[in-house]
Amino acid sequence: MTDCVPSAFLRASAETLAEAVRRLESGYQYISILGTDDSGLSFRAAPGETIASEPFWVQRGFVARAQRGGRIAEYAFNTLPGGDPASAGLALAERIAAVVEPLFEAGQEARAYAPLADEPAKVEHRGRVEKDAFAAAPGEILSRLAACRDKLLAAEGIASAQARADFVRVSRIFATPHRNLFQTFDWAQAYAFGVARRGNVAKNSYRARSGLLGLEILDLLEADIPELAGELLELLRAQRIAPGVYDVILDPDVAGTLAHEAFGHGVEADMFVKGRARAAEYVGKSVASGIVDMFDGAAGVSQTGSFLFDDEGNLARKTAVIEKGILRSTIADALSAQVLNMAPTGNGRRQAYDHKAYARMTNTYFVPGDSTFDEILASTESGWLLERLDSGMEDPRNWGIQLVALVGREIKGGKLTGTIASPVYCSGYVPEVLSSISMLSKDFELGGSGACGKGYKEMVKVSSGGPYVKTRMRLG
Amino acid sequence: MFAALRTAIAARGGIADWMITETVKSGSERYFIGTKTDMSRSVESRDYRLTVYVDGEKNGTRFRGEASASIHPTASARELAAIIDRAAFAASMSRNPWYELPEPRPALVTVPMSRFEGTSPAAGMNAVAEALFSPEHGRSRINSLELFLSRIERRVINSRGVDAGWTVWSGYSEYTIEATGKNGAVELTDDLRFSDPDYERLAAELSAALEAVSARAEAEPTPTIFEVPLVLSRKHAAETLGWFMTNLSSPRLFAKSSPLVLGESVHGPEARQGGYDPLELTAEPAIHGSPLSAPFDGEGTPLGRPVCASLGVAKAIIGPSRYAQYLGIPALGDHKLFSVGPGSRSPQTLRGGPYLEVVYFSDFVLDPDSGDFGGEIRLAWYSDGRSRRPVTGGSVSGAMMENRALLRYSDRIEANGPMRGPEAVLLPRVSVAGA
Repeated sequence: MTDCVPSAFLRASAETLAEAVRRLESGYQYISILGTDDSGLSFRAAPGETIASEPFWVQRGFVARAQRGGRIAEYAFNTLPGGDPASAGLALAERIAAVVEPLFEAGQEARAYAPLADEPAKVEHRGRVEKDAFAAAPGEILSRLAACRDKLLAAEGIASAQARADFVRVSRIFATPHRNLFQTFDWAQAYAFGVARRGNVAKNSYRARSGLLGLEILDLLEADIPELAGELLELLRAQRIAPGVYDVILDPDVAGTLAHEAFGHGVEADMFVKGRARAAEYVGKSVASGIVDMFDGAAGVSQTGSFLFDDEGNLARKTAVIEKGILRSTIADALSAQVLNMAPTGNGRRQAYDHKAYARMTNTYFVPGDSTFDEILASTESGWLLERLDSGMEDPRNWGIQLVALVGREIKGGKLTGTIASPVYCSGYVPEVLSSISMLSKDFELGGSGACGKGYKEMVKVSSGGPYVKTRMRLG
Repeated sequence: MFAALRTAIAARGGIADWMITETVKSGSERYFIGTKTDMSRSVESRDYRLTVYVDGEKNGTRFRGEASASIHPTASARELAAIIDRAAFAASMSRNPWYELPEPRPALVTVPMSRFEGTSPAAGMNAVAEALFSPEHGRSRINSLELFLSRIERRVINSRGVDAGWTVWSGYSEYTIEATGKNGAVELTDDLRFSDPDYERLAAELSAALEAVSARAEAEPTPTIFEVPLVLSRKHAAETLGWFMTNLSSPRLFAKSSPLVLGESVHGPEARQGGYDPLELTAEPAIHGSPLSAPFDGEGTPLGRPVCASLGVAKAIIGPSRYAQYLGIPALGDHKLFSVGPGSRSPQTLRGGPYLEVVYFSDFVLDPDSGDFGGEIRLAWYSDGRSRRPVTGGSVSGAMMENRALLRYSDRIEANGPMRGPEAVLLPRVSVAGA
């Protein structure tokens, strides 16, 4: 294992930021600066070409948050004054003050918050990976991805294929008058995609791997290719599902997205503050079957939603959202937590330094049960096994749910019949779906290859998962 | 930064060509809960992206590799050198068919400067906020609203002499509106984009949304309906017709992931004359009010108005220049906007018989590869041919490959998202799962 290398730029900027914070401290109820330097490498083997570039997540910049008279203002920027830390810190403080002062006057009416907390803390975290992708030879990565692509294209019926790997090194510094936090860790994601075509029918599918990983992620992806090739060809005979309500077994990825979309978004504390969360009426009440436990947290598990501190400088936690079917807690950013009179849960996250922080999920999952997958399958007289998540969407006020699975496998008499459907659109009323959960497998898998948006934007890296879950949903 | 980059590229050596894009953004943001400001933000950023191209040769065949990297304005000279070296080394590992970079060419169109120009984003957004909060609609109201207004300068230069620059104003608002009715409190979330201070349009969009959420408050559960045509309007019409635009792009044709073929019918071989409205699709550099309007694409290629489909036949392919070269077709640029000609039906005729018109999905998904589409229904209008009523819940699904030979469009043209085209599209073969 090797230590992830922290950003030399942030290290060098630390004194300047600290000086700026010191200069600004007396003028505001609260002042903080978050610095980000997330670097990355992206490699792609597409039909006929290989390309090296950068992942979406690369960023370097700063955001200052200031509070006066209860009002909150932020200034995001990505340049720093030159000079020694003392003079650069002074110049930065003057620039921040010049920008945020007018922001306190913007708009006629404004919400006022009590002074934000600034509890003393000084911590540093460095992640570790098995093989450092940033020290690896690009040619090796590209050739391994090209081999994945070519194995897929070798199968007759697969018209298009590509393989991709992204490696991201996250570095963050957070400074207030009393807090000094620094973290560095790597995460990776790798995908193989394919499109199978026969006549007028085209179907696609994928395999994805992710985690706080380095180059070792390619070993995992390579092992997935034969199964993906087989699945793509299988999908060419996929049928359309007859609309109706069915017993369903959700694979860990689809189940995790159910947790994420059905209740994860619904318990984001800013939704409570806006009066958008129906969950607010159900805290302490039953919202799911008694066998359901659901957690969210950047701490406690290791996946792409893991970190030491969030983008508001609050340390990561693990939050029990649902325990034995009872809704227990929200997940909160700093501002919403204050309104709700609760402690922040380490869920204040930004897409990047130049985006606002919101209450966001991290790693969201159902806790495993005591059944095997075979037992769940055998218990299902008629229904569908849903695999390969395509997308999901939340509805926190009205508790609708949408999940799209690329693969549906028919179950009759406790066995898979070989009939396949694609895609499968799943919808339902969240309490009904969660109350109908009757079995949970012993398995536990987290997938963090996707990203989570809030509304139509604000992407952050999350993971979700858990065991196989048996419930009932409307399919179409 | 441009000069520093040129110097560092020359010092590295072994780089055949390069391209640098610069984006300078000055933005203002305001977040509302109800009518109160929850937070105000200001954003100032300057970003560079460098792409380097490294050539090779084997057995008389030329190859080219490329790699790109972000260049932060705070990067030191040492960092610059390291980034360029790493990118050049990575590029040398790719042996793609050789292609050339775009050469300098003058703009083909003039994109009018936004009428926000001359003011600051912070000042510009006051009147926008006023417009968005102006509509009143009985029992529905704004729950929360986010407003963004940015002035963005873009510039592209490359080693072949391209030096293209332009300025856009990008406005965006995402909002949640709510109403109370027989279904209790319900909400809808929507967004809008703008590049000009078109206050009447912005207010009208909010007003329509407030009306829609009132309808959702009274909506009945969606029934399971067999054999009812689906009408998709507003941005969903643009997403549906955008499937053709997406698949008439050179990267997708080169990757063999597009089902469309240049010179063949985009409606498929099964299309029968008179059974559909033939697609008339033009790639557009600019649409009034769209922040995506630009005289050049991301490589500095000037954008014209190529006709991509006429009488339902694929006529031209758009996309980055390298893929055009790979396919042996003209490099027309990588357009983000398009227009579609009017269909054969008036809005009333299109909705003349029984239909289900979904106006709000949870998330409308249209897969570019398979053409499969669908989503959960948040608000739809169901008409049995005599009267229409709002419905909610359940889902609708279908496939473009099964509908493209039967598509009908409205003859009323309006701008929706990246498209100026029919206000509605009719897809006859869909499946509806009731609530």
